[in-house]
Amino acid sequence: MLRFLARRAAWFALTTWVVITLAFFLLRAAPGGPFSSERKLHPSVEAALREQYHLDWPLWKQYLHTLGPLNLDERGWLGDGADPFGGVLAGDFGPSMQHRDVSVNDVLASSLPISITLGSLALALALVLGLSAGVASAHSPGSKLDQSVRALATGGLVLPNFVLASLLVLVFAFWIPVLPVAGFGTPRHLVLPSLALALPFAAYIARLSRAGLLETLSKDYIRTARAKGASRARILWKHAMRGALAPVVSYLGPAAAGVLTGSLVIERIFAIPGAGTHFIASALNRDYTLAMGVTVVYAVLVFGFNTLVDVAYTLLDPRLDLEQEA
Amino acid sequence: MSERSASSTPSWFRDADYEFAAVQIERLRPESPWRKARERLSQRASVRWSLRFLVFLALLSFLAPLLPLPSPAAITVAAEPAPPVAPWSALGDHKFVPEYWDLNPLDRALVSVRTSLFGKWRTGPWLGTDALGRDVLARVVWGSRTSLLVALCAALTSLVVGVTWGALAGLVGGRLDNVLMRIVDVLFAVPTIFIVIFTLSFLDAPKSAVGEASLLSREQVFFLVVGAVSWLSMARVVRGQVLELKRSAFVEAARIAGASTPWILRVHVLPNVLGLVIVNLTLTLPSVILYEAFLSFLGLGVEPPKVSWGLLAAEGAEALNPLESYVWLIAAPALVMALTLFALQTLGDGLRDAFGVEERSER
Repeated sequence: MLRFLARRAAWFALTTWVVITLAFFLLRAAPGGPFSSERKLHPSVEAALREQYHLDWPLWKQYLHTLGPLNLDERGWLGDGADPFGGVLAGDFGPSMQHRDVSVNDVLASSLPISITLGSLALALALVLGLSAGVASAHSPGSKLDQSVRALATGGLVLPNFVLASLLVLVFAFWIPVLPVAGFGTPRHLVLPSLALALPFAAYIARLSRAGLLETLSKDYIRTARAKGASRARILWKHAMRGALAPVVSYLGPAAAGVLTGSLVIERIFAIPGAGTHFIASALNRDYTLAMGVTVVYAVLVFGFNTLVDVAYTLLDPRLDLEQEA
Repeated sequence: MSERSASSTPSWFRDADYEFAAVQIERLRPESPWRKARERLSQRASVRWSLRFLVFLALLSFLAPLLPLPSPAAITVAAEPAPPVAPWSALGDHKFVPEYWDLNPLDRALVSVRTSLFGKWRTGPWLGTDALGRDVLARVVWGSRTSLLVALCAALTSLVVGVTWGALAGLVGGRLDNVLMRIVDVLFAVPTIFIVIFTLSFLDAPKSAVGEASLLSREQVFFLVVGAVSWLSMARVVRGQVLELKRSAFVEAARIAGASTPWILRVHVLPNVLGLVIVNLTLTLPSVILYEAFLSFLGLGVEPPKVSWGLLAAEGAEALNPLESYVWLIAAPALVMALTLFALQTLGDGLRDAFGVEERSER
């Protein structure tokens, strides 16, 4: 386990470095900059702004400054040494280039909890809905229940999530006005967005768990358990569930990445002030520091979640060896 | 020894024995995976219908300029979207005006064939019109071209890059395998959506900032980017299968029997990998079509006046409100999209069963 985590940490370092480097050079390669808007700034003002944000430095220096962990500006270890550390590796993303007087860390601190709440709620909902639907339909394959679950699951997989979201709004906010259309604040505001975000993943989880459960239920050891007189419930929950969960758990990694991606859309539809809105806006506005911050945070989230999933996977299936996996 | 002539060799095996052995070999010879797959596939009506639907759709979308539809970009001044009318109450009129974006030569030729065939006749608003008076049916048909092209593009990249990458890693093995697969691992860990959004947003810069026109049009970059992110799982799957085949008993047997490497590749490896590749492909396509919709919703897809299903669905979703429900604006693109994805999925599931590939979540 320790070796696995060590190797994972090395992978994590490499991946983070790749993400930072890719994001840095992709952003700088893009035409335009944070201060080239439609409204032209006075050249001297723009020069002063560029100097303030160190955009006048050579590219390698900007890169090292962004990467960290050493602060390269006049307050850094080369200057008066008041602020020796900075940059992404030191956990400091610097000042936002579009939101004046706000640091990227502040922006993230205010918006990320919202996105994480929404995302984890959606993931939990997807698990609960998907697993219960999958178990219910595997319990009596071919029944009316099974057929309707499969039809619903197909529906969740063939529609884009913004269409699902609009349908949910149409039904539960317009026709039966029980939930708010958009916004954020109360728990009631979270119902429709998390549902819309969760449905495609719930559908896939239902499919996976149904298939996994049906396959496990046809195994010899289940027949043995049945022969020695174990009850139906005990066979299902104690013996079969473990095997059936494996594909679902390994799907959670991609699902988490998908939830993050999907939240870009859902946050926009429901006007939720999460980090997703900043992501697209910062990329379009060439807010170099904010875009870097959101990108790195999302990459770290996905990586961390994948590692958790891999650990959970070996807990479910002791035959797998983490040392080999890594 | 010397008095034994060839003819007097004690015949341990009679002709009948040889014949019996030949029959047995023929009977026991493993069926080709292709024939087995085809037999299993043809038994399913759902798979047949899905395939028919997809072929029909592909034809429809390719021949879109030839059909007597109104122009998908022709704007008429309308106060609000008009609901669908039944074909029997408004079959069509003679008000066709050719108004398109920059078409390629082939499509221009098709359009001119259309005008000489049908003249100014065009179909009525069978699926209604949108807020700018554009015909929804025409837009859905034309939009299918973008969505299917994106899918095709991703399929091609998966096939060319993904299969080569995975096969190379699996066949050569050793250090090259290590390097190639580590690259895939890192790319998998990098959330691709960031690369996509960054790359696409480059071309979204205000014109004053860009100055001169960029090398590639936004649409071409869009296709490239979608292709570039869709080959990773294919590379992994192909490598896994190739490794499994390399270790399998029948390849070892072939090698011991003296088969050459090209022969083994052609006869044993390729057919067994190809099934998996096709299955993986049909299962990738739905996610690519959904991806196009996702990007279009964020305003990073094709640019108006061009259309795609994602763009239509996004417009339809925005037009929904409690006072005036323009349901047809979202129902039409959403339904075609759902039908297409459903057909692809049915086909993919059928192929998977036919080739005996297990369902597993790709990473």
